[in-house]
Formats: sequence, structure tokens, C-alpha cells
Amino acid sequence: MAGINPNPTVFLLMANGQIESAVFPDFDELYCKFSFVHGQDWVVTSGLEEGISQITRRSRDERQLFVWNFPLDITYKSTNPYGWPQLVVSCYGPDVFGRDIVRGYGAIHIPMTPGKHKVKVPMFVPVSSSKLQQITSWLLGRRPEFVDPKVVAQGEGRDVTRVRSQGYAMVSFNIVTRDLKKLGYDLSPSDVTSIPLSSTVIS
Amino acid sequence: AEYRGYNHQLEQESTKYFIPSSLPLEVANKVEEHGQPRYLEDEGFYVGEKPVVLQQNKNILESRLLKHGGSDWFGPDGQVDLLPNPVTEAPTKPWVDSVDELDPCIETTYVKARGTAVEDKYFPGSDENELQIDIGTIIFQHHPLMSREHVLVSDITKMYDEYRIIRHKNYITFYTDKLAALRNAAATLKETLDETTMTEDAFSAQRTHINDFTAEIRRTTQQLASAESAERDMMRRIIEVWGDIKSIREKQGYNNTSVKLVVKREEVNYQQDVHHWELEVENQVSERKEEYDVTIAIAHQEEVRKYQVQLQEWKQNRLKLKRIRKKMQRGSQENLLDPNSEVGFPVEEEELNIAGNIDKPQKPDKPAPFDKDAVRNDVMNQLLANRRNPGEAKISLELTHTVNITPISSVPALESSRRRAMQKSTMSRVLFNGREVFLTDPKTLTSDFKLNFGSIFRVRIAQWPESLKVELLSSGLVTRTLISSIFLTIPPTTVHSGNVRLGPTEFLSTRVESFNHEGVGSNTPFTLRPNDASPTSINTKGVIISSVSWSLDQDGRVLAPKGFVERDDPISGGNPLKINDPVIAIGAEGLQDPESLTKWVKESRLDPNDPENAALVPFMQGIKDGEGFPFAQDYFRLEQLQEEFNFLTDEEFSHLNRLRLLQLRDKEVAEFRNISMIPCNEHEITESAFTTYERRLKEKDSLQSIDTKGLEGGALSAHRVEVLRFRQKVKDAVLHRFYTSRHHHTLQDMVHEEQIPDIGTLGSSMAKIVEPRRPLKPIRKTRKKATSQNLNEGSVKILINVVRGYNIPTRQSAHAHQQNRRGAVQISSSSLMAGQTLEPNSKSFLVSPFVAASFQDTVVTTSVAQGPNPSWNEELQLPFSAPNNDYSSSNLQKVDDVLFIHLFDRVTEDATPTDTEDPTTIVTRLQNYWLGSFKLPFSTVLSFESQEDTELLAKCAVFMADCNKRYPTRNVKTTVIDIKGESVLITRFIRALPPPPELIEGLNPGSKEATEKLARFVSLIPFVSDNVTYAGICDLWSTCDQFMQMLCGDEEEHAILLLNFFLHLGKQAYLVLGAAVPEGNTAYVLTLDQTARDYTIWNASTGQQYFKGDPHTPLQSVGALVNDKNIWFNVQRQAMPIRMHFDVTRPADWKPFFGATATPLPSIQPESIYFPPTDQSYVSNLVDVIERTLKDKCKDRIVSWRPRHITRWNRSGNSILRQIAKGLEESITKNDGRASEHNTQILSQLGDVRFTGYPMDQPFTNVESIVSAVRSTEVHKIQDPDVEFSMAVHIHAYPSSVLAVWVYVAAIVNTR
Repeated sequence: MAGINPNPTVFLLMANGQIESAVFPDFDELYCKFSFVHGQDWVVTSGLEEGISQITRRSRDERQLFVWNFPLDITYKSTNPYGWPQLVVSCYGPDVFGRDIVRGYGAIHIPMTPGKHKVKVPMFVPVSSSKLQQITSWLLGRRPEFVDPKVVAQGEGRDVTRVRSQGYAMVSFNIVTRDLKKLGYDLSPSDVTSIPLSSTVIS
Repeated sequence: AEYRGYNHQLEQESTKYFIPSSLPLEVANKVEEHGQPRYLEDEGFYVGEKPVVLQQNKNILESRLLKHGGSDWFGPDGQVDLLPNPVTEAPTKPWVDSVDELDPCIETTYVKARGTAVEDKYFPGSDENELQIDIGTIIFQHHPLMSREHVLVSDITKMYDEYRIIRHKNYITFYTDKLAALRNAAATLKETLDETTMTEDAFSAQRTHINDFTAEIRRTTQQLASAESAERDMMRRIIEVWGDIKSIREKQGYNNTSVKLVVKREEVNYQQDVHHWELEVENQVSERKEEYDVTIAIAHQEEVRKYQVQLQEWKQNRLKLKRIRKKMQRGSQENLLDPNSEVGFPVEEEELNIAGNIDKPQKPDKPAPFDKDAVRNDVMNQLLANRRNPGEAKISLELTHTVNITPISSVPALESSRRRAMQKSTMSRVLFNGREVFLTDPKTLTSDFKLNFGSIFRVRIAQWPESLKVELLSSGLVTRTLISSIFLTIPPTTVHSGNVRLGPTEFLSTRVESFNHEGVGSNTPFTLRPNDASPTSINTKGVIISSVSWSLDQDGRVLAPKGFVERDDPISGGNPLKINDPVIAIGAEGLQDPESLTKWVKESRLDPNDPENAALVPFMQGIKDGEGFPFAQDYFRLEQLQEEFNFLTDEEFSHLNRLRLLQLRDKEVAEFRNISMIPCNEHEITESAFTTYERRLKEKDSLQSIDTKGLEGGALSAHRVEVLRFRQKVKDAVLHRFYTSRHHHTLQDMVHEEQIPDIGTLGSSMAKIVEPRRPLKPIRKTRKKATSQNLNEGSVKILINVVRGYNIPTRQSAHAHQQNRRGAVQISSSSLMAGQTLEPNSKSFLVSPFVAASFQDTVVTTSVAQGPNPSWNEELQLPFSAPNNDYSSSNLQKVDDVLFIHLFDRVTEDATPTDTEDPTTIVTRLQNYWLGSFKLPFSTVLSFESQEDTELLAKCAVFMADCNKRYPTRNVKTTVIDIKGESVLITRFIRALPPPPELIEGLNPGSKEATEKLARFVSLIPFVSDNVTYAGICDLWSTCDQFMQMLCGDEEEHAILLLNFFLHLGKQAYLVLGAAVPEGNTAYVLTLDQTARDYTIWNASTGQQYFKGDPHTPLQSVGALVNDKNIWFNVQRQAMPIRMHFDVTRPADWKPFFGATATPLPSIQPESIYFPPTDQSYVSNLVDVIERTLKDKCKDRIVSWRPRHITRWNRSGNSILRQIAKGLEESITKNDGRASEHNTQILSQLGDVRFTGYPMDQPFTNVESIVSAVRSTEVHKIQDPDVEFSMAVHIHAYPSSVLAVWVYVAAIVNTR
């Protein structure tokens, strides 16, 4: 297929970027896992859907940052904007006894508009269902975890859980789309003709 | 961080926090003006019904509103406005007084105005259209600030105006002159009237003329009388009111008004008056006499004349009658002689009757004579009452404004406060189509309650004029109050500013106002005169002098919209508050016709606040929404804009394939659940996407309606269709429940959380510290389960470990005859064993067995081993691919592919052609003889974690928890889910049930034959795993009657049925819950032979029995025993049956669920099951069908399976096989030696042949499974060119359509 198809049947979404850093004031070491969650009408054409980062220590300046600079690069093919892909980030870190403990879950939709985006992903963890369990989970180092980290990308069943917010991660995205407009999905405001170059922070 | 005390914190909080109280608030705080709530409903306003809100919440809301100064949110009754005002057309927010203190959250932002898209409200084009409105003067006939004196003055002024009009028109003079003229004319006519000189015609014309005049005179006289009386009446009333005014002025001691009535008298000449008077009386009397003459006397004469004519006729009739009578007397004598003459008589008789019936006419009464004196009296009285009496002075009234109004300094306090109140200015604003277009300057009332606005202004309009309203507002200190609103008429296009005149329009306001001062208020009762019995109440009313016209432009053109037609709407110009009764306006029938009613409501502009119109308020709204007729409407909000958002009609919607696809996927319909990449263009989706789904729907439908045609060529009886339908229904219901429950998550589904440790787990974790690092007897650790998320195609394989075999049958002779597939082979991933009923023959040859495993059309084989006890030790790998590449567990459980494990004997045959040219070459042929096979549904390969999460009874939960803690792997159940999806205690399933009487007929109930026959019967009911039927949902247990009805079930159903039969036979039997190879968790039946103290274990789904001591029992572990009374959990160290004690009375070995004294619970099983006899014709038909299928289809198939060879059929073999097949079922149940007998029978009949036969039996499910069973023997792979095939089918019918199908397939190679 050479050139540009005048009557496309799919649209493409290319996203690259980085999980740049995170702010978790109470912890010393952290690593993160990411995975993309998408609807049934989406197919990954290239790139990694899941990944796991290095362990990083908190910076020793006043910023107290965990910097990963963990690259993301993924290209999607889709026929339906329903189920727009989301990035699910979950952070883990060892506690004082060296046990791996989940420090936060967060999910964010890949930005829809083309351009450069800087996104703040707020994180949260499920809390124990009772005080007693809180104590024992602290003693045993087995904090409550989501059965599947991907539940944070969907709404079903969330009503039975309780969570506590816990820091945030900064993710940058560069978005390129193709054929979206030809399929009738107009994502950019009508009076914007050029791609905005200024970064937007979504909190 | 400095520590501050708790009190300090409280202080801080009290300044920062506001906690709204939930107690009811003072009503006075909430009501704006006078501190007194007004209950609109009591006053008769239509208020609608408010939604129910908890009083507490309402209180909190109110206190919060009050705190933030939102008093606008309260209605006049001190309640929060919970609904938009029923009369407002659009929701409004309360007026914000000052812009500076604007709450940031309600700050408004400027949005550029855009015209609404309602086209027809606007004029087409951009013509300039201009209305010129002149608001002149407003004169109040009643105003709330009027004092009593004012009210009377207003009355008197009104009456005086009328009086003046009457005087001005001067009716009396007019009628008097007219009367005189008429009388003159009448007199002249009478004079000229002369019978002698005139012709008759002229005379009568003259006469009529005179009569006309007389009537006219009479009419005029009456008119004159009424005019005179009206004037006199008016004068009398005016003078009366004037008297009242004078008395009020005197009483209060000051004057409020300048009105003074001047009565002018004019003296008259009495003589002249009397003369006139008498003349008039005479005139009137004579006129009445004349009238009497004309109307009554002449009419009387006419009647008399008529009477005489009638009398004449009557007399003639009488004479005629007499004549006839005489004639008749004569005629009757003639009649006797001549019968022919009788014709004439009846006619005359009739005439006679008629004549006789005519009565003698009545002589008309003579009218009363003209009583001159009475008439004169009457006339005199009338004149006395109406006319100025003789000598009475002529009176004329004049109302002047000459009295001085008492200045404000010298009036009492109440009056002065009233006068001060009058200083409040009033303004009027003009609203065009409900929008304010003009506001006049404020004016104060003059002392005679007039407002002189005198403002002319022009309105340029773009909408069709619908209403033009003038609102009178009195400006108070803060707000303006609406006094009244007046609708003006939109003028027709002919009225322009050049020719318009000011005109009055009346208005009325029912607003209630009352004052503490002298003002009488409006619509408030007050006593006007001191001696009035009942108080009066007057509404504010008045007249506006105004004009509305279309402007003229410079060229003198009228700036009116083209095509504007004045609405025929008399009400809008007049009094808008006038209540029009719909029944009068449109008639009672119209009320039934919504359209005319709506139209009427639209036209009559009812006041929606008027309680009498309450029922019609919805109609008013309904018009605006334009969406039909809202009959049963008891709410206000409507989806007004829904119409505009309906982009497509519903029909068009239903044709959208993409939408349909998305919706079906969203509903998780099986065919679409995992569909991905739904094309984004409508045209890319073909109808074929729905074919499977629609076919399924159609099948479902066809199952609903009894239609057996399309199903397997009529091989299904009505009973089976019934069963299929029932199963479908159950399946649908279960699936529905499952999918609804799947979206219901619990915390365990979402969050993985450690259990709270108790002493046991803490202890074991302690013990972990001291346990040996490298134990001598390591415990096998289970392989870590792979999560199904990361699976994709090609990465999943099924591993089969083929270890060794036992007791493989050996070749008996050169004519090897492999018999009896029922020597089943059990294979598991860890071991392979063969339990063979045939004893190894001493003359046996060796055998070269190998194992072939096939799954999803892939076959892998082991190497060939030697001997009857081979050892392979090989691992076979089979690739696995899930349907739709969906590896989710729910999908995997639906895989109903079957893993086949076949055991073959490889024979090397000499196939050297006899006429070979090369004697050094030996050609051999490898031939695989099928020894046996074993099916393993995929659902048992796939192992699940238990998904049992039922609402167990508390005891069950405790029991289960206890059991699981002690032996977590042992299978035990206390409650199971029945077919309705309800938890049922397992013992309720067990109850002695009589088996079909045919089966145990003539047999000793305790005998071995009887039990075996029953086991055989039960095993012939087809086996379907619940896992396949209700994929991944749960294990459903059905009762025996349901099981017999469905004719399919899994281990539990078979075991329970067999157990119940055994219990009926009086055996001591138990249900064994345990784990077996290969089923996994399963149910077996355990029987105890009392005499022999011998335990037998039955696999109910195969019918096999094993003795307790048999090491090859497939049952690997026993978890629990169940009977109708109790459940016993195995607490022995060992779970293998061979190493166990089965004495449930020993508490050290068995832990009972119920205590010893507990009474058994009632069973859910029926008392007995009816086993309908199987239709023999159906069976023979079925045999026919199967045989034909196998012969035709299967022959074809066998032919097609071996495409490169000629397939021949041995007919004599067929008949022999049929004979044998018939005996096979007998031999199975009797288990005698006949099985081996029939080889000799065959061989003797067939002669010298190599015979390879495969008798197979199976429960009947469908023809297709029989065909695949035949294929699995691989009989078609025999490549000997001389091979011939034979086949026979026999069906043994048991009651209840339980059928044992025997198929005997054989390959015969003639060795001669």
C-alpha cells in the first residue's frame, strides 16, 4: 500500500514517551511496572505492552524524586475509539525487611490529541479491610494488592474496594495519530489548525 | 509546630466551621416581608405536589441557605422551593441584588448571544417592523390606597358619567318627539280612512298601515317609559351615594376628594303639567283601546266567523248521516237476497263513522270587554313611577370638583399615612412577547387616582407579535411589586400612527392588598358604609388610555410585517383574567377532543395561577413542548429537546449493523463476546456477521415450536426434542444468572488480602523455621499455575506422560480377534493401566502395543513396545489452540474437544506380492489393530480452582472449614447447587427409588445380577459434563427425575440414581465423594454386602464395579460418604479405598455431619419415578436409521476415509454380526462366558479368514458420535487389498428411552 489511503478502515495511534519520575514522599526505593489496557477494537501493531523498570532511589535533594526515565513506545491500530488505551502504572518498593510491597496503582488514558503531553498520574493503594488486618499485613509484609493491576483501568467492581492515595508519577507522551479525522473523529478543536507545541499538564 | 490546646482548636473550628442544624427553623426567618407565612394553597393557588424529602435533610438545607443569605429560595409559605414554579416557563435563579458581592460560584460569564433555532417565531427576511405604543393615562376605578370616601366618589363618578351619557343622548326627548310624530301620522291616516270613497284594496292597506303605526306607538311608549325610569333611577342612586359621601365626610371630619354634587331644580307650571299629564293619559288609554280593537276584537271576530263556517259543515254532515242510516236499514234486507250488492256498504259505513266522529264545533269565548277604568289606572301608575309627576321640579345633576381637600397637616394620622403611601411612584413597563421593551418614568398617583404617563415609544420587532403586555409596577424601597398587567391588542396592519386614536382598555387585578391605614386595600373585605351588613371587597381595576399602532416610515409606508393577520383573540385585548369556561367556549364534546381543548387553552390565555385553571396548566405546557397531548402529567419537567436529538428514527437505528454488533458485544452474547476490531464503517460489516447468531436464535425458536424435521433426519423422538428444549431453557436461565452475577464483585475478587492468621497458621509458620532444609521425604510441590492473561497461540501444550501398561490383550492366533472394548484402559498423565477382563491366554502371541493420543486433529504416538506389560515412559506433546484465541478461563472451559488416547497393536504383515520379480525384496505391511481407546474431555484436563461460593448454612460452613483444615485435598460437599441455582443439602438428594420394574423382574433383589443390571442401565444414560454444559459456572446437581428427563448428566447424577436404586433393593449403600482418575473430583457408589462383609465400589457412569481390595480402582481418594441421613468425612490418614475402613460408626475414622439422634431431612427427590416404556417402533426405526447412516453415509465415509482402495462389503458377515450383536447386551449383563464363544461361531461360519472385529457399545446420544466411534477404531486403515468389511447395529432398549447401541464393525481378510 503506497501513499495515503483515501478511504481508511482503521486509524493509527502512536504514542511514545517516558515514565519520567515519581513522587512518593515516604519511601526510599521504588520500581514500576507499566502495562497498556485497551478495548476490544484495539490492536497493538508494534511496541511493548508491558514493562518493568529498574529500581531507583529517591534523589537526595529537596525534590525527593524517583527518576526512572523509562521509555514507552507503542503503536495501536483501531476501528473504534471506545476502549481508548490506558496506561496502567503500578509502583512497588521494598520495605525495611526487603519485602516487595506495592506502593501505588494509577491509570491514565493516553492523550487523544496529537502533540506533546506531560501527564501526572495520581497513585493509590488498596487499604486493609480492618484494623486487625492492617496490623497483620504490616507484620507479615503482605499488604493488600489488587488481584490484577488492570482493574484500575476499569470501573467495574471498584465499589467494593477502599484505597488510599499515595504519591504520583509523571509521564510524558508524544502522540501521533493517523486517519482519525478521515474516519470522522475530530479530536482537535476546530479553530486550532496547527499542532500545539506547548505542553499541557493534566493533574 | 507549636502545641495548641484542644480548646483552642475548638475555638478555631467554631469560627471556621458551620454545622447546619437539622432542627426545624423559625418560620419567621424564612418568610420575607411580614414575618407571616402565606399558604398559597389555602388561598386557592395551584401549587402542585412537592417531592418527598426527609424533613431532617430539608432542615439542614434550609439552615444552610439561610446562613448564606439565600432567602430567595423560600416560598411565601416558608418552605424551600423544591420544584420550579409550575407557572414559570423556564427555570430561573433568584435575583442577585448586588453585583459586587457576587458569589464566585454563581458568577456569570459573558457568552455571545445567539439566536435560537426556532425559526417560525421570527419574521422571514429582515424587514423593518415597528410598533408605536402610546401609554397615555391610567385611571384607577379602584385602587388599594383609596379611602372609603374615594371608593364612594369613584362610584359616584362612574354613575355620573353614565348619567351624563344618558342626558347627552337625551332619549326622553327623542322618544317623546317620536311619539308625537307617530300619533300625528296615525291620526291623519284615520281621518282619511273612508270605506265609501276608497277601493277595497286601498282600504285594507290603509288599515294595515294604521295598525302598524299603533304597534310602533305602543313600542315607543314602552321605550320612553324605560328611558324615563332609568334616568330617574340613576339620579336617585347618585343622590343616595352623595348622601353617603356627605355623611362620611362629616363623620371623619375631613375631605379627601373635591367632588361636590350640585342639584339644579327648575320650577314648572303646575297647571300646564297637569294638562299635559291628563292629555298623555288619555292618549295612552285610547291607544290601548285601539290596540285592543286591533289585536283582540278583530281576532275574536275572525274566530267567530270561522266557527260559523264549521258549524255549517257539521250540520250538513248530520243530515247526510241520517240519510245513510235509513239507507242501511233498507240495504240489509236487500243484502240477504243479493250477495253481490254488498260492495257498497262498508264504504258508507266508514263514512258514517267519520261523520259520527266530528264533534260539534265549540263556540269561541267572547273576549273580556275593554275596561277603560282599569287601563287608565294602569297607565297612571306607570307614569307616576317613571315620569316627573305634575308639579315636580325638573332636576338636573352636576358633579363639580369644587370642594377643598383638607390639607395633610390637619387630617388624622391614619389618613395622613395613606396619603403618604400615595406618594409612592408607579411605573409601567411594556413587554413584547414576554420581553421587556420599555419602562416609563415613575409617576405618582394624582389625588384622583390617575397616572399620567403620556409616553410614546417605538419598538422595532423581529418576532411575530404574540402578546403585548403593560405591567404596572409600584416601586417600593427595594423591589417593585406588580400591581397589574394589561394586555393590549396587536393592531391590524391598517392601524398606523397616522390614524390611531387613544382608546381605553380595562384591566383588573386580583392581587390581595390590605393596609393598616385608611386605604381600603384590594381584594380585601372592608365595610364601606357604617350601616352595611356585610363587608364588601373590591379588586383593583381601572382603565388604561393607550394606543398601539404600526409606525410609518418617512415615505409614509406602514412598517407592519407582511402577511400579518390579526389574531381573532378578543380576550387578549380585554380582560385577561376573565375566566372562560371551556365547556361554554368549545362545548362539552370538545373536552374529549384534546386538540380543540389545547387550541382553546392556547387562545384563551388563562391565568395559570387561578386555582380554577389548575387542571388546565399541563395543557398550557403541553402546547409549548409541542409533543402531543400530555394527559396524565403530574410533573413539570419534560425532555423538551429530545426531539432535536433524535438524529435517526428507530427504524433506521435497527438497521445499523455496526451499532447492532456493538450492542450485542456489550450484552456479552456468546458469538460476539470476544469479537475484536469491529470495522469502523457501516458498509464493511456484512450481514454474514450475524448468520451464526441468527441461526442459533432460529434453532432456539424451532425448539420452542415443536419442529423435529431439521434435526438428524427424524432420529430424534419427540421426547428428545422435549429434553433438548428443557436443557436449553435451563442453560439459558443458568447463563443469565451467571452473567449477572459475574458483574457483581466482592472484595475477594478485587483485592488480594492475607487472611487474619489464627493460632494454627501462626504455629505452622513458626514450625517452618525449624523444619529441615532438605527433608528426606520431600513433599511434591505443585507446579505454579500460569495466569491465563499472558497466553497466546502456540504457547499452550497438553502434556501426556505415558508410563506403562498392564495386561494388554495378546494375539490369540493368526486370526487375531480383538474383542470387547469394554476392557477399558485408563490413562492419566502419570500412569497408564489396563484392567482387562480377558485372562492372558497361554497360547498367546506377543503383542506390540503403542499409544496414540489425538486432540484437535493432531495425532502423536509413542514408540512401539513389546509384550503385554509394556513400559513406554514417554512424554507426548499436543499443541492446543483455544477458540477465538481467547485464553480466558471461562472460554477455556467451553472447549468441548476430546482428548482421545488409543491403544493399538502394530502387526507387521507379509505383503509380498506372490508374483514379485525380485525375490530378495520382502515387502511387509504395517497394520495397526485397535485395542481400545479412552476419551478424556478437555474439561477434565483443565483443572480449576473451586469456585464454590455458596451461601452455606452456618453449620455447613463450620463443617467444611473443619474438614478443609484437616485434609484440604479431600473432596467433601455439604451443600450443592440444584438446577434452580439454589443451595441444597446433599443428603436431600438421596432417597430410595424403585428402579424400572422390567429390569429386576424375576431377579432376586439382592442378587448380583440385579445390581449389575441396574448399574448397566444407569451407565447407559449419556454422560455430559456440567463443565461443558454450563461452562465455568458451577457444578449443578439435578434430581433423579430431572436426570431421567434430560437423559444426560455427569458423575453425580449417575451415582445418585444408582445409589437410590440400590437403596430400594435394600442394600446398604453410600455415595462416595472422592477423587478418581481421570475424572478428578467425582462421585462413586459404595455398597456393603452384609453377609460377606465385602465392600464394592461402583462407577455409576460406566457401570464398572471394583472390589475394595482391587489395586486398580480408579478411585484414588475418598473424601466423604453420604447417605440419606448423614455425611461422614474421612478423617483417616489414608484416603485410598484399599487402605481404608468403611465402618462409619467409628468416630475415629469418620466425622459425621449430624449427631446420632438427628432426624433425616426430607428429600427433594420424588417418591418414585415413572419410567415410560420405550417406543419399540421408535427403536426399530432408529436401528434402521443408524444402519442406513452407517451403511450409506458411513459406507461412503469408510470409502472416503480410504480413498485409494476399493471398499467391499461382506454381506454374509453382516448377518452373522447382527446375530452376535443381539447377544452381546445379554452377555454383558449376565457377564457369562459367551463373550469368547462367539469367535468360534464367527470363524466356523466364515471359514478361513483373518477376522478383525470391533464390537462397540455406547449410550445413544446421536448418530454422529456413533460414526466417530467407528472411525476411531481405524478399521479403515487396513490396507490389505483383499479386505472386506462387515457391520451390524443392534439397539437394546431399556425403559425411559435409555438405549444401548451396539455396533459391530469387522474387517475380514480372506486368507484362502
